[in-house]
Amino acid sequence: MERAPRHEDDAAAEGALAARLRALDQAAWAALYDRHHAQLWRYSYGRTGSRDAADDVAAQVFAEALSSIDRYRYKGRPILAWLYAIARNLTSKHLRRTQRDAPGEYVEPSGGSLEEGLDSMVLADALERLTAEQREVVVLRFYAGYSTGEIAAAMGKREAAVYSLEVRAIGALRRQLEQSGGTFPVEADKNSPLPGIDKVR
Amino acid sequence: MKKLFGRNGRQAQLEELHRAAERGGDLRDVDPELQQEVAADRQFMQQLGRFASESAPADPSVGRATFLLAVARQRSKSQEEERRPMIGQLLRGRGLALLAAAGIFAGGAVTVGASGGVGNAAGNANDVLSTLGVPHTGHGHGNGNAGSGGPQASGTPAAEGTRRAVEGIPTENPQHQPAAAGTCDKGETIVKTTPSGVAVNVPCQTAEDHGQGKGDKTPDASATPEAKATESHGQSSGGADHTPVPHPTQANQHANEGAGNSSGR
Repeated sequence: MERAPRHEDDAAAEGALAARLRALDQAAWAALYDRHHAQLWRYSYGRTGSRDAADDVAAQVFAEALSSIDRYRYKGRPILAWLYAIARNLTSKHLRRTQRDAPGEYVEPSGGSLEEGLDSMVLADALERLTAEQREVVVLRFYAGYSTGEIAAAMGKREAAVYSLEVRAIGALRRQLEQSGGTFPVEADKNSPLPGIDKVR
Repeated sequence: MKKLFGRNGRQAQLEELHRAAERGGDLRDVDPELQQEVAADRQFMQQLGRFASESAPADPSVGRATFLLAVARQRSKSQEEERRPMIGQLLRGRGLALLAAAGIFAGGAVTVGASGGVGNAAGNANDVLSTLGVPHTGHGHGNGNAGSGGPQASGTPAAEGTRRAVEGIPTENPQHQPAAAGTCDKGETIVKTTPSGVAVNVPCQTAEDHGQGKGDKTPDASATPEAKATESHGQSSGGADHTPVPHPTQANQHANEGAGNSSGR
């Protein structure tokens, strides 16, 4: 996965990409899609616990980006921040709609294995109990797979602040799952060293 | 305050321990409770990362193709919009021409008296609209007046120059009768029709003084029989016979009548 720009060269490349996107360059849009679609899908999946919802949200993110590219101006913040803002809004809208239409209703997992569906829902439920910022960081970090630097750029925060949020969020999420008696079926490989935060991909 | 500081200190220690773990540092010299917590967190992170990486969209290629099709469609749409301003300019030009036509119409209407009637204005407006190729099917005020506006309306050069004839409106007044060439007897009244079609009663006059009425006030002094009648006062009967009547106007008639009356007394 390509990294968000941290240097001037990267920023220039990002600006050039934005210009190509505005010119509706198909290759540029294909590159953007390839770079971010899976991550944004996972982000939405992590928050909703639903594959269908993730499919819809990820598709809508790019559709909205395409329809509003005329108004987008690159000002040094990575394009990911723009996409992330769209994805966050769409996911929140989906969750609000779901809770309004069927509050507390069991939604049968769609696609994937039943275990995966259930786990994803257990996780999504636990994530909803975190603070909004902690939830965003965990989903962007572990589902979407973005680095701390990329998350900081997307959220408009300093890396140290994001790192602090990561550590707090992980501890809170783990304790929540332990208290609720939920078991996490994916066993950690005890023979491998504990991964650093930036090595978890 | 102390408790808060303590909690912040513990959080700061946890963050430091996580950083140390990432760098592969040794965690043996720290509080065992903290060490255990960091180890549990990192194990959970590993599980979470693995679980999340296993979930992926089913078939992203379908969504990708659909999206790129939408990009191509939007591109062609925006290219069409780039061409559209040319048409927009033309439309704006046409709009300005229509405004000009309306201005000419209004200007023509204002100068009704000077330029020979409302029909002239209507004719100008029609001319402009015809030049622009604007379909003009309405029969507005100007057109209506053009038909009934008298001979000037239909006879002005502007109206005649209208490229499209205005249908249904006669260009000639069927009630107009030109002045009769015949003669009538003195004292009679005949009905005449003005060019605009109004019938009026007109006292009979001779052909030489047709309708001028000048003789009423300024009779020809040289031919006034009254002068001679004065001279020949007392010879009324004979005077009447001798008086030449070169201009038998109404004035002369009055003069003669006066002479007769005076002579009668």
